[in-house]
Amino acid sequence: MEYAVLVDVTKCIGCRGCQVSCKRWNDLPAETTTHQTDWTNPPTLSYDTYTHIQFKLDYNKSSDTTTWRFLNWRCMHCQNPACLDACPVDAIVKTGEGAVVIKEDRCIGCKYCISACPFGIPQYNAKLEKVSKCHMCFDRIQDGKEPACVQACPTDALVFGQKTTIIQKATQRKTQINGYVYGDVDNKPLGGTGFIYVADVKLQTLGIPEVSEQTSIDIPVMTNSKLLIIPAIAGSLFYLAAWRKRRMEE
Amino acid sequence: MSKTKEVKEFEYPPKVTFSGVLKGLWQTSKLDVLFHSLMAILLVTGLAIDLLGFVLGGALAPVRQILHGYLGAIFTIIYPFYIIKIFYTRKIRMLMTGINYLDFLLYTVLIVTGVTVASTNQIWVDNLPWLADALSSLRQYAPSIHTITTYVWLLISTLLPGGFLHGIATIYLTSIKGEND
Amino acid sequence: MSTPEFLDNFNKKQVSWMYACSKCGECIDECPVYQQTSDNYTAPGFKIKKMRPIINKQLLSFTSMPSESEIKNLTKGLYECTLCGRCVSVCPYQYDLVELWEKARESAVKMGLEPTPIREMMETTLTDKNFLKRPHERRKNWTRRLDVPEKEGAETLYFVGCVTSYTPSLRAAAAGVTAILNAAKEDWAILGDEWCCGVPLKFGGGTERFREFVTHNVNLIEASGAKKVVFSCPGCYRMFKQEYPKILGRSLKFSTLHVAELVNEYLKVGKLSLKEKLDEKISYHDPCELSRLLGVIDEPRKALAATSTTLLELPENKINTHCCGGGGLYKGVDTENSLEIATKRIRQAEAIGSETLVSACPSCVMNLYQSARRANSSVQVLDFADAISRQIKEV
Repeated sequence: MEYAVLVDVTKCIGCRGCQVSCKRWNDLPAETTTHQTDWTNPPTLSYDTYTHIQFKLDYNKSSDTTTWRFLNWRCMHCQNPACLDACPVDAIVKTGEGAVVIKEDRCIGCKYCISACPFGIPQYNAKLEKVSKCHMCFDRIQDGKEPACVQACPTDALVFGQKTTIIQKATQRKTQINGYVYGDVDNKPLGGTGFIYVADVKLQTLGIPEVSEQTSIDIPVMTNSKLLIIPAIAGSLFYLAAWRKRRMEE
Repeated sequence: MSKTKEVKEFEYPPKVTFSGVLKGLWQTSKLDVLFHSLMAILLVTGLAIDLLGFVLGGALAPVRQILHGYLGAIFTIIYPFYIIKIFYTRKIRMLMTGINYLDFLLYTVLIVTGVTVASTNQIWVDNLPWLADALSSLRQYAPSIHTITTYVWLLISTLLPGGFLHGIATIYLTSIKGEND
Repeated sequence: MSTPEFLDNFNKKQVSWMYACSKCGECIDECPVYQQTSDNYTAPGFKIKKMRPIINKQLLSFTSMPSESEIKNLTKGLYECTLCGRCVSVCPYQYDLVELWEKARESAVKMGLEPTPIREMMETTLTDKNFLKRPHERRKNWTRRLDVPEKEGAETLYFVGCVTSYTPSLRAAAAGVTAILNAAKEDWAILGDEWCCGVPLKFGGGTERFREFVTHNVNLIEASGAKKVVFSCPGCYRMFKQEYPKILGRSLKFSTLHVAELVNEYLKVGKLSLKEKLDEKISYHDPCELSRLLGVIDEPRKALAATSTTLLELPENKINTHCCGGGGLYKGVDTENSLEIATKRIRQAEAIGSETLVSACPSCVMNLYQSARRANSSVQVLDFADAISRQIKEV
């Protein structure tokens, strides 16, 4: 049974309940930050911040109108995660429910996943030398519950359910608001995402990058380059054979 | 002849022993001892992570952090001194061949990509914003270039008369102690 | 194997060396010929670099062979070498490069690539039994008016060597040994039919015929029943000591020693008495073959210290000795530079205030003597046996 989450940007009021509940469920400490010019707080994701609300202010000069949008930002839980392919110690898994989870006991802190993720999600802790990110509360899901952030959301901007249902809802909502969908509907970043976004503007204008269906070539290159050992061994055997042959001719 | 070398002891015909070779390496160039030891450890730990990662998992964490990471940083620091010494010393310049230059190029790639990967989210890079900027374009490809360059180096060292042949030739000579005509 | 290819005589050891060489360059700065000529092709490490592609081709037939002109330059460089062994002593691997150069020269001869002077030296060695193109019948001319026994059954034989036998300026060396042996009342003689020890063939690369000289000399000596053989020349001495047993596949039935070792022994047991020490500043030049390649370092010094009040030490001495430039048949290949290298040594002697420079090798003595004269130096060059014999106290 694969699950997904619908993120409806038009319904989000920026209350940050999702941030708080995530911290509570995962026992994550608060972070000391300094006030920035925008209200996004913490300003970036970190090892201790799996999700945050990005405050997007859109000021239209000609009509002198201001529109606030609040974008919930976190791991997209892709179908074919680049981070999973990049990890040399198989520390990242995709559960049956669709959650992409970093197993910290296996993590060696090499940060390949950070470079691989096109969304720039995994975050590194220099002291612990480990990487973390949102894990879709896979433990809660497996217990029949919703992720903590979804449960906390007062406006149902975050909706959890079976993937097929969520995709349906996303398409319906898109038509309703004459908006746009990002995720596992039309284009499928990395084979499709577990978090599907719907908004009244193109999601790319809100900062979500364009990601193609396939991982870029470098991930397969990285994982398969070890096969070059085969010609290396063949080469060394060839040398040994040439050495022997030369001895015979002596 | 200002700087003639003073050999302390010598026996003819000479014996080629492994301990003698290590001693000779130490006496000739301590920088080379450092360079080659670090290179060997970096290669072995890097291969261990890439090839045995699936079975050793988290146990490789200290291997990656300390042996590969911190020693890699030391390697990065001494590398320019090493290269400068080689190009600055006439007698060594005279003996360098194509495979050496290729090696140097590949090491440079490994160092740059290694630093790029290490700098992701690291605190020290905040003090060097210019470096972070310069490396940012590499960030996505750095791990894959780092990995494939290692295997390309291994392949080249084996197929072309490079490190592999040097290694087994040394092993052979020290095993026969330089005798056996 | 039909037509020979250059360096096809390299065995596993020499082939391995092409790749084991770590390109450290230590051998280059220390080579006396490279120091003199600054020609890359005379630098030991560079020669290895040039030989490597040839060996690459042997292992990987699809790689390309160096051009003919490169091989010519390499071969020329191989003979621009005194075989002094300095490169061996500074090599961190301690690889026997002298053996490598000899092997490469051997291959050069098989291919007919050796320089003309070398070919001539080897040819005359084969026909005249000496490399100086002198008639073999005149080998013992130096004994005229000297008390030199020539008999069978003597306990000690004096192996004179070509340079000492034929070179007028070295006659004093032979005379010196004669005086020493007679003063010590040694039961000695010279060989009836001494042939060249074979060094020109070994160093030149004509090793195929080297065996003939080995067997001739050894048979004669062993037939005479001699127990020990004394040498003036470290080259001959080293051939007998290190190379002859390899060729014969057995050890020699007699012991070998250099006149410096003999004199040291005599002085120790009192078989030789010397006059009062000369009030003179002398210095001793270690011949490469004797000090570096044979390890005879203290004996000549002990003996010379008994002849003179002041024995000074040259820089670059003992196993770090600076080659005189005359070895390895280099003198025949490039006489000018050979003498220039010797001049450096003369200048070093002058710099430490040495009035006399003594050496225990006829080739060294010859090169140093000639260069001292050319450079108008006041340093007097003497052979070891000559210097000792001048101080013999007649009892």
